[in-house]
Order: sequence, then structure tokens, then C-alpha cells
Amino acid sequence: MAQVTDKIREEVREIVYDFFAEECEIDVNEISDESDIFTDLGGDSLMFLALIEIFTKKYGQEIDLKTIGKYSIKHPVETIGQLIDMQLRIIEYGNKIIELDD
Amino acid sequence: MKTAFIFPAFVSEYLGTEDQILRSFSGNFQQKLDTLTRITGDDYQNLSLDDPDFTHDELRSQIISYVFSCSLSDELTNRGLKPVAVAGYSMGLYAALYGSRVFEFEHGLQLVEEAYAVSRSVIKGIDCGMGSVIGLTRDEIETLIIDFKISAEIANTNSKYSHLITGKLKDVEHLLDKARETGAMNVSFLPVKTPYHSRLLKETQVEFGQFIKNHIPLKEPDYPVISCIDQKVLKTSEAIANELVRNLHESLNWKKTFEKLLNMGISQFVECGAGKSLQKIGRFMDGEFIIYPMNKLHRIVD
Repeated sequence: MAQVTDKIREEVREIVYDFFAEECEIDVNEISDESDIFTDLGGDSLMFLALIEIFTKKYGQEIDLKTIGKYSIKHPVETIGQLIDMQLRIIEYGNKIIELDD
Repeated sequence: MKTAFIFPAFVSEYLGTEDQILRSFSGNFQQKLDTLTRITGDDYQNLSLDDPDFTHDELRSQIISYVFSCSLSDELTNRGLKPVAVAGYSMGLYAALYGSRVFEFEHGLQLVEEAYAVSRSVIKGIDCGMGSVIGLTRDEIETLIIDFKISAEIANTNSKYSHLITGKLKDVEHLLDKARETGAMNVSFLPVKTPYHSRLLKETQVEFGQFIKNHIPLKEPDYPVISCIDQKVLKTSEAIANELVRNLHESLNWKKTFEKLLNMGISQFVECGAGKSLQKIGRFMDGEFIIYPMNKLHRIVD
């Protein structure tokens, strides 16, 4: 398990916001934690995949994508805030994320 | 810098500004819309991407994609941007061949319509469809197909973790369900009722091949065309006729096709068509390159 520091939280938030601003071609100031990735931003699941790749490379993790897929069935992601939360959990727990019960 | 033109299939997500961008270039786009209107009898002259009669209809959406792609290809080559190779994603093959001067605009249109008609006729009475699986590898999907004896097939490998599947609707649905249970991050149906790149369409080969032979004069391409089936360089009219026929019923591999283009030293790609689906897929390819969708072309052309 990796410790998620305030610095990592801020990095993840910044990367997610910048990523969606660029991909969805909108001003970063128009994005909030409550923004719906699909309806408000016009995002898609490929963007999730791209972000997971960015973070696994950045933090040197080896993640089984299927684990995240199964986790997302129980914890569907719709908003930017939920996505950031999921990314932080992936960084913190890696493949053990599936064992989280909340 | 070597440039390739890559042509998307019919588009489900438009940028929304495609028609304005193309109209701002020249009269080429409007001329093509006029031609479409004359040939098909449908009113394409005042085409609006907000009109679901056009964008949600399977054949019309292919026709629209074809005209966007052909117009953009014309504009770029008229401005002196010549590709060293072209490749078409799925039904983007028709526009890719037009872009490589294999046939005239009207001939490509005939091909789009005939391919659709022949495909629909061989699956008459059968509910079919296509789907998308994000988050599993090709091997993992093939394992599901074998383990659960599902008759659906992989239609296209977009990238390591992104695939399209095709077949009878119930089989596609079964495979999507199993994929999600296995841990796919996302599964979804595509808005089509024709099982492109499926063996269900193998019966099209004789009729469609005969149509091409009788109605479509094929020339040798001005620019190399890369097969999305086996990644060979298509150089002759015979090879192109064969590709057109096989494109309906054989599995494609866009990932390998893109890698082939990269191995040719190409580092600049123009997504020659509506939307930016190929740019999105390109995120998952390794290498130093850039893909320009239509709304970013000002960065490389005046």
C-alpha cells in the first residue's frame, strides 16, 4: 500500500482537471468535482483508461485493469470528484482495491 | 515530416463544427452535398448535424462520414499536403480509397450504398449488432468466446484494451455481459444493426465482388493504402477490389495498422473526417506522433 500524501492528492486533482480540460476542449475553470464526466463534459470510458495509464506510469504501479473494472461495477464513477477519489484509492491500494468493502 | 491521412468509420460523436469548418475552406463540400442530393434523392444540401434523420440513420450516417472525409481530403491535397500513405478504419476504407484517387467520389458513394444493401440482405430477419469492450485484451475476449461458446467475434482491435465485437444481437449481448463480469471497465452497444466485420456477412462476397467488377472502375492508388485486415500495402486494383470485399466480413486490426504507419516513419497524422475518434484511440499507441482532428488543422495548414 502506498501512502497518499497531500501532495499526491493535489497532483492527481491537477492532472485530472487538466486532462479533461484538454480532452473535452473546455476551460479548466468550468470543471468542478461535481461535473458529470459524461453529460457535462462529454467524456467517455476511453478517457478513464487513459488516465489510469497516466497514473500507473507516474506512480510505478502494476495494476490489473480487470480489478478496477470489477471495482467500478460496485463503485460506478460519474463525476470528476468520484474519479479523483477512485484514482487515489488505486494509488493507495493497488490491486487490493477490490478488497475494499465501503 | 511524413504525413498519413487516416479515415474514420461512420461517426457517432461529432465535433459539431465539421460542416462550418469544411464550408469555410472552399465550395468543395457544398458541391459534394449537391452531388449527394442529386444521386440519392435525399436533401443533403442543407445538412445539419443536429438532424437525427441523418445522423441516427445507419446508411445516411455512413454517407455523411464519407462526404466529410472526401471533402477534407480534397482540401488538404489541394493545399499541398500530400500523404505518404493512407488507411481507412472500417468503413473509412471508401474515403481512404477516394483520397488515394482509386475511384471518383460518385463511385465511393455507390460502394457505401451497395455494401449496406448487400449486407442487410444477407442478414435479413436476423437481429444483429456491434459492441465495444474497454479494459480487456484480445486474448481475454477470445477466451470468453471459447469458454462460454459465444458466437460473437472481435470486429476490430483498436488498442491493447479496446475492442469492437460483432455478431447476432443475442451473442453480442452475451459477450458484453460476460466481459463486464470479467472486469471490463466499460461495455456498450454501438448504434448499428449490421454486424460489420463478421462472418455473418461472408455471403456478401460474391454479390459485392461482382458489383465492384461491373460498376466501379478502380485505378492504382496515388498513395499507398494500408490494409486494416492484414496491414499489407495495397498497390494494385486487384488487391483493392479484394480488400473492399473482405472489409465487410473479416476482422480488422487498427492497432497493427497504425503501428505499420508508424514503422513507415510517419509522425504526423490527419484524421480525415468528422469527429476525433481516431485521435482518441491514438492515445494508446506507443511512439512519437501527433494526430490532428479536423478542428486542429489550422496548426498545419493555412
